[in-house]
Amino acid sequence: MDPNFNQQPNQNPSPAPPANNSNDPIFHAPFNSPVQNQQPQPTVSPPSQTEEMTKQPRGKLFIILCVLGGVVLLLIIFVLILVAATHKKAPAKPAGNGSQSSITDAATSTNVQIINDTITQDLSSLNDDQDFPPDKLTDKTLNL
Amino acid sequence: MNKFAKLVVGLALVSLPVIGVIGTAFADTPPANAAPGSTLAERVDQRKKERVIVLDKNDNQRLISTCESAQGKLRVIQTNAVATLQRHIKVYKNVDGRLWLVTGRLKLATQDTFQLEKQHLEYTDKVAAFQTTVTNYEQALDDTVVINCAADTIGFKALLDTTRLYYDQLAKQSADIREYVINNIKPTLASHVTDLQPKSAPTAGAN
Repeated sequence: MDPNFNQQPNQNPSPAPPANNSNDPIFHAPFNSPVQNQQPQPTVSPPSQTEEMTKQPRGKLFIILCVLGGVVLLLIIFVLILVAATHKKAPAKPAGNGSQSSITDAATSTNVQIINDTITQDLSSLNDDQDFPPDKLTDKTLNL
Repeated sequence: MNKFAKLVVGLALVSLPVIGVIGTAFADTPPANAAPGSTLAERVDQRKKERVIVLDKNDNQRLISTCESAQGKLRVIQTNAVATLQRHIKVYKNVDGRLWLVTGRLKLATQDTFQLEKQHLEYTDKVAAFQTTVTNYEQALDDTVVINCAADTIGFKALLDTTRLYYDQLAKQSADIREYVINNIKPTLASHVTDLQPKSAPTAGAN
């Protein structure tokens, strides 16, 4: 047993240095006395109930906002698709009077004339002189 | 010069023009459709038999030296031809659709559409013939481009002549379709326009 180590089992708070170890300053304090010059330890307290209660409504609010945002986005996409489909389905305005008739309407002089004019336009888009020139495949053109 | 040699020379002199006439006749003969699923070799043989190409030594040499560059030009023509011909077919189909539409409407208006329907049928036949010629032309043009022309100059020439014939056919058919629509179908439609115009009421108080 180390003679310098002096155990004091008594509960006296005031340390009383033993007579035998007056030269050793380190071990003067009794065993069960509080250690001096010790830094206070931080206390970790569990989250309070009020903090938990504020977190829950925030989470719910976030979810609700996300759902609402998704619904609004879907509505916008749906409207855009409808508008695009309506534009596609819109029939080409015929030349002339511009009166739009349904495909199941009986013939009138106006709509037959419109179709006749449209046929002329269709044929006008072709240029036989340009599309089938007579010298396209000649020996001269092909350098044969 | 003995008699035998004179006979040979005489026969040659007589037969050459005959061969020329026959060759020309063959050259103008419209080419037959290639058999579906036929190979390039089969089509080359077919065109050789149809065209009856005769090349002298100079022509042969010239073709050997120039055919590959000609094939390069034909590739460009081939690329442009596809778009041009598809455009024609699309326009013809549009006109066909409009004729169907106007015929239906005229029937709803209790108009006599016999003449229009007859002309529509003939128009449809002309367009179908054009489409067949397009297919044959594209095939012949493709064969002309891919054949080893230096190794088979007669085959190359036969294919090229076939392509030219189909090309001429296309030009004629396109002009014919246009002329038919303008001179036959459009006047029929114009007569229906006149028939459908509202009749003006007779003016009162003429006396």
